[in-house]
Amino acid sequence: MKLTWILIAAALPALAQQPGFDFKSLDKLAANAKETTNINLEGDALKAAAGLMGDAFRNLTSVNVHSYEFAKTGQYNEQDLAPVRTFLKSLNWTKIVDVKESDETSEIYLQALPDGKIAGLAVLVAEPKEVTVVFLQGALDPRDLKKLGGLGIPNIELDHGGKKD
Amino acid sequence: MNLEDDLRRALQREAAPPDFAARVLARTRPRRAFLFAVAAAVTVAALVPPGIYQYRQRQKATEARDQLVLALSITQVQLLHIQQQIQHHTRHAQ
Repeated sequence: MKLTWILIAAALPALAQQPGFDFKSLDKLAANAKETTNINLEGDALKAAAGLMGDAFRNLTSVNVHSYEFAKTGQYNEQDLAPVRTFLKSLNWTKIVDVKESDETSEIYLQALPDGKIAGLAVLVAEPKEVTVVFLQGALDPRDLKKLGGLGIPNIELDHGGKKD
Repeated sequence: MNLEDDLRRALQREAAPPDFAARVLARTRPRRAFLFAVAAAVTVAALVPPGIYQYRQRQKATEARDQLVLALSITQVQLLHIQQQIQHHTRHAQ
């Protein structure tokens, strides 16, 4: 009986926190990229960083932004992005935006919470010479993204469209 | 001679040798300096590491904040880009 409780207690943290995306599965992209930007923040570092930015981002649990820039077109193929889509599908993230142009794909995925907030935001943008993968996890109010405007970052109206100062 | 005389003689006040004060001070000075050094070291040991720790924590937080701002700005730029694509498609569809 004791052993059962110990096993349950050990499993709880794993159940509470969903596994993060393994960016090593995008190593193929990184290998051919001219320039890569990898930002991975979680735990105490993220808490400290968010603490310096006010209340808006206090509930973030992990931030992963990976950007790959290529010298010329054709240095990656759609199949290289499959791990991202497979991961999001496996965790039942909802694809809310899917824009396909001749040489470009843009997708936004959300993990929704019942109270209207989001538990996670994923963005996948594949341009001919650039691929960007974003994973923001943690309770986040979509309106909080607007608060970035105060940091010198262009402000966005997510609901009505249009760029604000 | 009786006991009283012996005691009186033994307890009679005697003047200290002329260099007595100098000798006492010479003996106590190094000890005072040592104690002062120990007290200073203890004070430094008590104050400096927490200060350094706090400074490093602050520095780490600032670096992490810069990374978070960059990450969120990349996210915003991409969202803005997608938004413009949607608007472009919407305009063409109308």
